[in-house]
Amino acid sequence: MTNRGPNDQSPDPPEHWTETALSDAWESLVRGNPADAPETEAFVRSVVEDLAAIDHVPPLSPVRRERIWGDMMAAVAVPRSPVTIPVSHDSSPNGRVSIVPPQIAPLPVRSSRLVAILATAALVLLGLAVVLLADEGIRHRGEERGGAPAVLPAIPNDPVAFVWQSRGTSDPLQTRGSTEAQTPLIDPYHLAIDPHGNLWVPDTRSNRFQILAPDGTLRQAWGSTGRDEGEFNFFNLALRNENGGGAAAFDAAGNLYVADPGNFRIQKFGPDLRYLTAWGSKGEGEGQFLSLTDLAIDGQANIYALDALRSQVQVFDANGEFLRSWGTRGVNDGEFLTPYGLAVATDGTVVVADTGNHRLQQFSSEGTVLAVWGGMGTEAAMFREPDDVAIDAEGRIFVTDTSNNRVQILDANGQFLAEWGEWGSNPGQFITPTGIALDELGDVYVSEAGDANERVQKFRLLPPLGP
Amino acid sequence: MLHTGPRHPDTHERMLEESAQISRAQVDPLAFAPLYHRYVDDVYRYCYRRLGDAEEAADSTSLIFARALAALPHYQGTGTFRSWLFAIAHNAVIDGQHRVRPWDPLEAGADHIDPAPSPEEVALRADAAREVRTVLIQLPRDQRQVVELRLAGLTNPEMATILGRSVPAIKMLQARALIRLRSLLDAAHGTNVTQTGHN
Repeated sequence: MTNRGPNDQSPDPPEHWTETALSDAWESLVRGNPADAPETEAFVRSVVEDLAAIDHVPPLSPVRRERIWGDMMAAVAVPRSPVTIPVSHDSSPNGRVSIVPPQIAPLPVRSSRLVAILATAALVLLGLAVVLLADEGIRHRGEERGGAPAVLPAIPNDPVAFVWQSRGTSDPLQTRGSTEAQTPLIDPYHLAIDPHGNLWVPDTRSNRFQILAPDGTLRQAWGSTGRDEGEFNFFNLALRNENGGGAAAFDAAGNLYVADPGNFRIQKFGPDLRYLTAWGSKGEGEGQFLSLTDLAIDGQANIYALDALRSQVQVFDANGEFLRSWGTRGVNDGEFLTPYGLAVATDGTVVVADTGNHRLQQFSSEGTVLAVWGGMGTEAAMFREPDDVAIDAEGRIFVTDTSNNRVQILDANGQFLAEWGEWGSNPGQFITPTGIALDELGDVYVSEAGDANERVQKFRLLPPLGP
Repeated sequence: MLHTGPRHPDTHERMLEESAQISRAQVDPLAFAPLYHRYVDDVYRYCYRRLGDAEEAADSTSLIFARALAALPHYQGTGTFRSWLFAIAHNAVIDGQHRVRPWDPLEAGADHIDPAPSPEEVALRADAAREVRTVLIQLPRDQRQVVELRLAGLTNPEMATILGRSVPAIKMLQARALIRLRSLLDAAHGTNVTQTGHN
């Protein structure tokens, strides 16, 4: 096979290229780092260099550059008085930020389009200020009622009410063996609820969990980086830690199981967080892993482990003994493309978020395909890169429809019930929602990883879906 | 020992400096100057690749920075400043295209040539500019958006934020765009092209 480009040397794509390898090679070129595979790098370099050779952008003249600056300054020339508007309780160390309302001066120059844009921006900012004030007011009213969270829809007609959000904490935390200052959440991934109703949030970059009480207050940070017992490495080959990593699940007895993808193992801890055992190694045999992305536990304390790169579900007993597995890479029923999340229903059926195929698949506990739902799309019951699933006591399936920036709820037969969310950073909005969990009361927790919102939001179902 | 450092250590110092500049600019518009000078060329070039016309690109750049300065007090530091700025740019250019040129932007570009240079310069410049756009507009829209943002220097997480996609989705789009671009670039130069696929 011969490919000849403008420099007569353009190489073919590498024989065994992957999407991740090509993309990473491009990123490496941009950053000036060597790529892992010379063949891949050579191919990407050829494309980038040929593209650059025809990328002729006339420079922005100094006069025009200064004129743009002058237009901006003219637009904000009116003296402004700052006001203080409360924002979400966890977004800054003191919970408040100074916001200057936009007061745009009349433009002395030509562009009516600029006037229109600035007027629109002013209206948007005014609306945002109202939302922020209303949000704080809601919270205060809730506190006056004795600390109970407010239950009002974040967005009219949403099936849920926004309760709280958390981006973790910048305060010093007592973690095991460390008292150093900790960072807020970075890449919070797949969530878990312990028997006390606390939310366990994998804080991927710190290889620890931030444990939040039902009211959103921080109880503890637990875990540290390493390979020893009770240490974690949430780096995930499938995700490259750019969109999260790490997952946990609790059995009925309160034992904790942690997906430790960077160490290619599952660790088990007692209810007192005492280390009990671990199993797994890197590989593609029974009991081996390449990229653990999620865990779920059934009523018999069997552990279902999802491996994205192997496109496979493995089932173990509570002691880590391999029981069975199913799945292979592909697009047919029962096959997966980089699946990221799974959950087990009370009837023992298993639902897998088949992320790369933009669908959900339902299996028996033995791995027989029962149903396939969805496909790529933005309509109801269609998905774009669904990342995680959770199932409530009624069998309703909650899905983080990640690239559609929403959560969808399906009934036990895969029929659409409700959805909420849109792109954004306000309460009830999402940017790449990743993890989802339900507590015993049916409240919904959603994490957002991936450099944007980096937070967890809690929602309460409203009638007719909720109590 | 916990590792809580920056995701890209080589840029950590710059990000800290930038964070301080943003804080100052949120209360003093004049303090926006270093941010403006750091990003104005990147934004302008991004607009030019989208619009194919220097004057249109400069107008859009003006609108984008005006919009950014007006919104800056509400910037809360989620994501990078660059991704926030390019999200504004992305939307502004889309708005502009919908308003001004709902038809093929490549053809429309010929109607908006900078009058200042000589006719010969105009012709050469337009031809040269249309070369890269000729290639890019043959990509599917989502692949093209990713390539344009990549050429502007944005990282995968930043592109994911701007386009509302997951990082794996961005990687997928980039990879497919690279394969497609190789074929398009070869075809544009009249060379023998062998289609290669995967998945």
